[in-house]
Amino acid sequence: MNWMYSLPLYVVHILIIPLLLIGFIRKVKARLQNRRGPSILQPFWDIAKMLSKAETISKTASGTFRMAPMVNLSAVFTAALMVPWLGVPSPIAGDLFLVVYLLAAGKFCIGLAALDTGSAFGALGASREAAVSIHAEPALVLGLAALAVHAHSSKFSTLLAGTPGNELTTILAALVVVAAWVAVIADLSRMPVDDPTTHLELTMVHEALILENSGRNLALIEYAVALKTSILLGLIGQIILMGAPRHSIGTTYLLTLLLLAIATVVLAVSETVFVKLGWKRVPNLQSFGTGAAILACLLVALKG
Amino acid sequence: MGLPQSFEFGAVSAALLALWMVGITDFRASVTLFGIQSFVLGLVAIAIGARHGEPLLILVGVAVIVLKGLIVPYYLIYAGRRIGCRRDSLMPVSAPTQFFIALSLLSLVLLLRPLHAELPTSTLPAVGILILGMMLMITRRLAVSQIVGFLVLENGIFLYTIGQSHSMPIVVEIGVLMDVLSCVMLAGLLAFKINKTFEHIDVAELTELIG
Repeated sequence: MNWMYSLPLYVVHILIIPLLLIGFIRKVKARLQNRRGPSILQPFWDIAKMLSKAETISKTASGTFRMAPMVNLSAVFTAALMVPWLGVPSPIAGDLFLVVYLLAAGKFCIGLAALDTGSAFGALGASREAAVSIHAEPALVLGLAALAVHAHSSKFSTLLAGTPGNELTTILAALVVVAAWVAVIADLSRMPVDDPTTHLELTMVHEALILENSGRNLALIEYAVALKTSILLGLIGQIILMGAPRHSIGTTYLLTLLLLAIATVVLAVSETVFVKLGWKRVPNLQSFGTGAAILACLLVALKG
Repeated sequence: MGLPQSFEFGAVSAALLALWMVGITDFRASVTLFGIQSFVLGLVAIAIGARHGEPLLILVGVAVIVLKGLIVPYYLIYAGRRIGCRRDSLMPVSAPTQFFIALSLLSLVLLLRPLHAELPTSTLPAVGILILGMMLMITRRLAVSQIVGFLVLENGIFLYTIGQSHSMPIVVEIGVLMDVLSCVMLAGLLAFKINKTFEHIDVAELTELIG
């Protein structure tokens, strides 16, 4: 499919899916906790409300603080156009290293902004978030790199094509899904690494990072996080589909949406069932992801 | 996926389950993983038996699923609950480090790959499980966790034998299973006794003589 069709498709989905996904997670979580919960559309109203509100900005903050959310959102938006997270070829042929480090650059900017305000909480959140990202990175990069070496290309379109029915592809996809899932829940500050609903200073990671942001800035950050959630979950969906037989683009697209819904339900269930891990035990969890990624690399190195 | 592939898939996933067990310290979780591993190996035995038309091997597979997949894990969890042990702590090497050491050991096993053409498909995973079982036995400090390590090691041997072209005679296979069962029962009783006498089952602390 050429970019004339895929670009509008992607832009429409980028505007709708992320907030819908977040609303869906909250709804499922509320139902599991025996609450009725807000409407699925609530994140849209939240963003609209935040956009119309005035901002409170620390006097010590410099221009970095104002710029960072925009830089972050543009990085995530670019990544969203490069990853085929809808199961449809992406408008821009994305390279895995470019995408992973674009997302990391966005996160770095948010960290800078948190340090810029000079508040103790921002610095605490930034250092914690950086530590979690450093632990999560090898799992995601090594896992995707194993797929890249297997496909002899670091472009997402070739890397995710796979060879269906091949036993190596199946095992590889399973290992990379484990690695990517562990990395992604840490990267998105989800349970059991971080609790997205907490505002207790002892435990919050991502919330401490964005504590100083309000109004428009906060809206941009919340939206960027939602978009990143859908990209990464969609990417995991694509890796799962690698092992499945080839389908037409339409079927793949519907399967991807289904997998996105399943992934959000899994997230919601795990957030209801698990408790947040102690800060010192987070690396233990991450080591499983890294281990799975290393195994995937080993398999590729020895087989092909 | 054809039968040969699914059979290799089962063997490899059993090895991965053993690897997972090295990385965790929670006793109940590792016993559960052991149960799943035995279940997978039982299915592998049934698959091989069905492929070669050996009804006895199918019988062994069913026996493994029932004995090592259900009865032994239930007994161990019961024993663990009665003794009151939850997780292995104070190990000389921490669990994540052990996990990476085990990973490197497994990759050393994978270096035997060039010999692969002459070996049956399940040999490398079997050797891997054997090594991981030994590692579990060496590193754990709770007596009951060491029993789990021994059982994992035994699973490795089982996978090795059923992968050979001339597998062990049924009498030996069933005999080994019974041995394992009685061994676990005895070891469990011993653990109860140790716990009663010393009020803990940490093997590193078992240095004083109590009559």
